[in-house]
Amino acid sequence: MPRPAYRALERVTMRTRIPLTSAAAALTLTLAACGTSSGSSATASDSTGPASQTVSIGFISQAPRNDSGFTQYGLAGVNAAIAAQKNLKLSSIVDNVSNSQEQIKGLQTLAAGNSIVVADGASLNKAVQVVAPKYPKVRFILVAAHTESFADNVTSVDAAVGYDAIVVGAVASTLSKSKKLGMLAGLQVPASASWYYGMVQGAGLDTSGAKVVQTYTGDYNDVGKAKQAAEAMIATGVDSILSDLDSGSQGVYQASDAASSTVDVYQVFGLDCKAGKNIIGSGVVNWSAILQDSVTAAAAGNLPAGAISYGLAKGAVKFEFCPGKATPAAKELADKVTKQLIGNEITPAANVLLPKPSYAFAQR
Amino acid sequence: MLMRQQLPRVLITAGVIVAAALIASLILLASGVAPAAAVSAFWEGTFGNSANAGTTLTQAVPLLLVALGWIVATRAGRLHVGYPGQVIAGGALATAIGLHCGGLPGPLAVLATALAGIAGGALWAGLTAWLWASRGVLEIISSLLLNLVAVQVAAWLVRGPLQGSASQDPQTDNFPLSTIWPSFPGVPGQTLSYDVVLLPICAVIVVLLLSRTVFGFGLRASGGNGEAARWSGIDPKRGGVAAIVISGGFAGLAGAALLFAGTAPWMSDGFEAGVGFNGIAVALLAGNSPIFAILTAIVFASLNVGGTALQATLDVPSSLAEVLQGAVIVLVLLAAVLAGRRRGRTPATQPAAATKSLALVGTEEV
Repeated sequence: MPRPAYRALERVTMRTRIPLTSAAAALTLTLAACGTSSGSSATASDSTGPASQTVSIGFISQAPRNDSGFTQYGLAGVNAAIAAQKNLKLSSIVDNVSNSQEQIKGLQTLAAGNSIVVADGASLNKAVQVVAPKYPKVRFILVAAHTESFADNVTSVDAAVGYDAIVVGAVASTLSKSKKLGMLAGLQVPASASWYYGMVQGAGLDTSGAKVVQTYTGDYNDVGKAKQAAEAMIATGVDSILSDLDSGSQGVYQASDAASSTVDVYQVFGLDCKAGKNIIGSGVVNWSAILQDSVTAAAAGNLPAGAISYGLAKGAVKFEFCPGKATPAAKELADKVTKQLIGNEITPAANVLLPKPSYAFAQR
Repeated sequence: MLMRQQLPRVLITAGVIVAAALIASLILLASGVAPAAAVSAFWEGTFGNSANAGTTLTQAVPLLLVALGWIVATRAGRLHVGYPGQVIAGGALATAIGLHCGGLPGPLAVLATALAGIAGGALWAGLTAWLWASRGVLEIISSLLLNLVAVQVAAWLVRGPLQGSASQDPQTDNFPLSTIWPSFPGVPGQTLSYDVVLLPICAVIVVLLLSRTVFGFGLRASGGNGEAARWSGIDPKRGGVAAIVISGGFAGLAGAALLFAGTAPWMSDGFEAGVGFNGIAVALLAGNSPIFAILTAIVFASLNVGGTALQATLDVPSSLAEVLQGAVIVLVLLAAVLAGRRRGRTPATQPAAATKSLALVGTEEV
């Protein structure tokens, strides 16, 4: 193309582009301003007190709702509360929200249409802190997380998994031949750290000097990563693994089954002995009971703000063996340690329990 | 003339959007959700009120910034995919600076975080550029691998030096108020950040840079034919390095925008949220046009935000938005191949167009 013609075309192109850009900018700002002007706060104020007395519940989680673990058990607790009380209704579920922006958006969407919002997981704590003050009439239940400060409409409910972890550590240490125990978790969040430190303390109750190693895969549901991590542990001599994973636990079972020598596996949250042939037992956490209790109280307006930790006394945490897997000595040891923990004869060490927050706190 | 030039791109973009809508409708029907109800919920969740519209537009900004980075790099003939890592590097450096800028006045603190973001992304991209220029390492390989390194570095940072003092969670403390990028006070929830003005400004800057400057001409010449550029006295290696570093700067700024312009003023695992790769798709859907990329960035942001609304209101699986984004990328690639074949049948106009379309380089002539 001749140079003058090219220049002319360029001028035309630029003359057209600048108005196009301006129009695009104007459009974007107009779109932002042309809404119905019903802001989030306004919507929130409409969400409570429906005429039918139905209390609607929204549920949000970082993991998928059918993760065979933490989220699924929590959701089961909400459904149990709904089954027990006819006026409760689970209206919305938002799952798989992994980053903070998505979490905030999801929480806002749920808060705009529900009276109770259950935020299931530690990673949601800051998002709840941001959103809850904007919806003062909505009750937020934050599961398995504490944070620096809470609004008056937030209650954090948690399981003192450290108690379970101490029992697991004691039992695993007794049954282990190599005296090398492993703890495999997704993210290094406080709840997962509790499992590790609890196991360390439990293993220390035995005089054999068993060691505990920990590995974080970065994902509670990635089977491949879990299998690789478990295989790596086994290669270093670990013969007892606690799997603080959800769907990812399948990888641990596979690694255990394929190992040349016996590798015991301990589950958390629920007990599913059919999932693998080497499963010894589980540090059961009855999230269903915890969520049912808290959601029912929230619906009745009786749930206090602050933090509530559910422990051995209420049966929210408890170590259970798979049938036929408990040696008499191991069973006796588990019972003994449990009784000592309930009787405060064993005091959880540092990091075994989540630190008590500065605001209202209750141990149940 | 201009209309004739733009028409194919407009048709391709419209065709891709229509095809994606059809795919979405089929998925919705398969999920037992009426498409009309889904459209209503989607609109309500994205632009149905000021707060949601603000969220959508604010989320479009980082997508556009990454898209502009891609456009600059590809125009210089450098196909790298290190945007996720550069977003993370930019966000991490901005966080490190921002957490210590609480004592600065607001405008200075905001500027410091933005510049830190640009610097972080540019430095990370500089590694790719250096490996390519000095060692001949393919930039697409090195940048891809550096993404993995960046993810691990970020994971270490939020569990180590940047971890919040009051929490055991892998998150930083909240950023000081003075560092938060301001938002429009009239929008409820203050969801619309002022950084939305970056949409047109950055797009125009890239257009002007590439079309009205000697530097831009050098980049385009390097990307068009390196040998010819060299004979003309242009160093294509220098152009390539500059393009990669500039694209990293854009991605780094996107990282800073994600953290400081959003409603979540802290850094945690996964804050990048797929923006790095989605930004590439934004550019592809726009035919590598900086101006069209504004619209496609809003489309992609709508998919993200609307996906959450669809899930909350109609229980549509959250993966639908990701499926749609993937479908858009496949459709864009398909459209590029078809366009390349069409051009291949008319060799008198553009002999190398088919190859270029496949590589998705230089689709737009600025």
